[in-house]
Amino acid sequence: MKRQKLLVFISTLLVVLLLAGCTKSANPREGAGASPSASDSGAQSSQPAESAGAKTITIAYSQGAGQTMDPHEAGDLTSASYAFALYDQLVTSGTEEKDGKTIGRTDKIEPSLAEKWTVSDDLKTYTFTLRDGVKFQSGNPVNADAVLYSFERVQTKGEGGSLYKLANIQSVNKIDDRTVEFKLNAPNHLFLKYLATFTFSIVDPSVAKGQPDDYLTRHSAGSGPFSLEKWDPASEAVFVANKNYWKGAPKVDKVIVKYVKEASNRELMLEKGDVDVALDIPPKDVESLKQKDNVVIQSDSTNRIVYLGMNAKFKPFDQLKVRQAINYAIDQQKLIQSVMYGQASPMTSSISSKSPAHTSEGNPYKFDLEKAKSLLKEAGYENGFTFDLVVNSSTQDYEDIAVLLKADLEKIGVTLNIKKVAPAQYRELVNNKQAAAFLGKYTSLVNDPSYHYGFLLDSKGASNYTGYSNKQVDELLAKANVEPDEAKRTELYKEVQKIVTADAPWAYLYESNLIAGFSKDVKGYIFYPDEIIRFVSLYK
Amino acid sequence: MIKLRTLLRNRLTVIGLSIVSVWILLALLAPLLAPYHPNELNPEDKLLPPNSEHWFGTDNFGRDIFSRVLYGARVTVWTGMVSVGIACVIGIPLGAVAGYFGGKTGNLIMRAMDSLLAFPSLILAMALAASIGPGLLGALLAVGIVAIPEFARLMYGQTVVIKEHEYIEASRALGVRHHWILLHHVLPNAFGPLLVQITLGLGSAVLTTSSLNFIGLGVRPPTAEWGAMISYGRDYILSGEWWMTVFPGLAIATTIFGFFLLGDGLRDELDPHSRSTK
Repeated sequence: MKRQKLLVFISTLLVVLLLAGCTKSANPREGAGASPSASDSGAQSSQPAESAGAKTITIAYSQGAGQTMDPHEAGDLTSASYAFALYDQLVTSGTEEKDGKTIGRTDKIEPSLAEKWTVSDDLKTYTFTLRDGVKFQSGNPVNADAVLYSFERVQTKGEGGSLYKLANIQSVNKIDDRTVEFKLNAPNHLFLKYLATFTFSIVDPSVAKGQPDDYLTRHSAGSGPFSLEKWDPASEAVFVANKNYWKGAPKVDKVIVKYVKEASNRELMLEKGDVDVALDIPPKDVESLKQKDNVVIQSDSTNRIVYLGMNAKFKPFDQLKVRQAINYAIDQQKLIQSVMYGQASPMTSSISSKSPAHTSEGNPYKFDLEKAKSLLKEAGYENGFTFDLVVNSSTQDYEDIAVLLKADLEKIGVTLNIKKVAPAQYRELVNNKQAAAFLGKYTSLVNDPSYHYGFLLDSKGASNYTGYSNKQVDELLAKANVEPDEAKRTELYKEVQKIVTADAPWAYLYESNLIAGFSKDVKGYIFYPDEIIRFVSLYK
Repeated sequence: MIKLRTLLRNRLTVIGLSIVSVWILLALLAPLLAPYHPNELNPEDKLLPPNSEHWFGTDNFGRDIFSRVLYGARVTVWTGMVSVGIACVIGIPLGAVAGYFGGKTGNLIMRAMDSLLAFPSLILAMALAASIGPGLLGALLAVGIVAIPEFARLMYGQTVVIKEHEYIEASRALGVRHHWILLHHVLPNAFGPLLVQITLGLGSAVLTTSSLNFIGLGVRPPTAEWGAMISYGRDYILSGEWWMTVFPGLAIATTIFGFFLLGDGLRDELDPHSRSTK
């Protein structure tokens, strides 16, 4: 009897659970949003806006939600794109018209919140005059106090703080309400380019002050073209246009960013019209997507470099000839065709060919297995050797590169073991310089050799993952940093490139393109070589 | 012992047995049968659909899928056998000891096994493989460890029943040592159910190994392995290169099907319950 009751009870429970599972929102998606107050309106208004279509742009991102909405904390390209949507900087990157298309030029600086500036003769004092009448979205004016507050705040943040130091800023002073003076420790020819980065965004002190320190991680307080309506890092972010934007209101009402990890899903959504823009289209699908009527594919060369790093602290890479031999064993053309399906260009130096001062002079390497073999013999590795190549599992390209390299290296007796690891493990191994050999990529946010080498190949560089250290290179870089004359600087950087190429801490693989897909009616896309997408110009 | 003739009377068992033997043969003879080396790159022949030269087509490096499926069988059969071996070697003694001696030790062992069973096996295998580190060894151990409790529990159950039999009592009365009893009386009498479990275990081991390789915890590229091949080919399904996923998928499906048919047939023959009804 007792048992029967139990059975009845259990089956009732099961039925109830089953019914509960069938209700519409067993998993309430809204409310998980960033700001509870905004999430309701977001849920209601995003639907009609989407069906109305014309005024909303939906973008599919590939790399997840990014770390933060806070421009001073941002360190990844996704967060950077939020910062450019929500905030303005004192100065900004320029654009140029080329073949009827507008292209972003990160090496050209134009006024933004500052309408003009003067530089002292010793190049250590910059005085900016702020544009009159510019207001934050809260209605408060963008004045000297806001600039001072923002530059104080940057220093306290990890990512922003390191760039603040790199920029050599000694002090920021208010002259009057519309004039700000920057004093530098030493001349820095990159100072204006640094100021144009998302890191030095101007935030609204009246909103940010008095809130907890991490308030800006999930809220916006800028003068930029958009404000944040809703952010659910698991699925999407919604940005609403600032109708009073001082540069003119954006032509769309809303930009919705969706996080779609699988490349094939992004392609499918683009083809079906579920999204207007899809980032990171795999190179193999470029040709087939170009055939589609409703899709436009844009593939632009960036300053992203892809290289094979070799750490001289590990055997056998302590031998220069071994590193050079690896360079001779690389068939760049084959990689570009087989891995990137032609959507890349050869890499001829340790800096991208799209960067100032690039030179391929002094680069003797070409695909030559005989030469590689004889170099190995000279280095005492006549019978080859075995090594692990650390490869990040996040992108298919790297595994493909590794498979091709393995096949070529086998021919000269070198055994390459592909060590494919998850992104977190990759960072741990590579950032701590524990990888003897690894596949790496790098995009310099400031397209200049000073920034590029300062991070990558200076012996104290924060991203010098091969542990490369050459006194001569360090000296040349230090000299170039304080050299005001551009022509002389270029000569110094060319010298650096020749030395690095000869030292061969890296084997050069290719410079990859940024490939994005657009539905046919999306207009106004401006490509910037720093790979960061700016929403403001998009419309349809 | 098994009577081959009675076993072969069941048609499904025969089918299972032949599928399994065919795959084992293919795995053993892969170097002789494969028309190409599994890792040979032929960029000129990339992404060819199945044709007379490449029966299963080629992948994006121009590697022959047919050859890779054959070599993949070696990895799969090898990992399946080794991991089930690990599970047997550890699980059976644990179960036997727990069942024979009982008491606190037995309780401790069996509760430990229960706690292993509490995890979904694939999740546990993922965690183990990730902590052991990438590579085939990690996957092997993970799949093996996950299968331990199933063997331990089966052996425990068998032992508890067998040790009550009179011939065990007789042996003990004669002063036969415990380990001798376990080895010569308990184990042979539990052989039938164990064989069934081994066959079924091989099937699940193939599935778990392929799953681990699919999510990237397993063989290092470019080793040919079915799960890894499917994972690699999934980016190509949309663009129309179905052969990169379909053939390794079929290989996994048929192998598991074969092992399960065989296991079912063996159970019908050997399980004490079904035997007693005959």
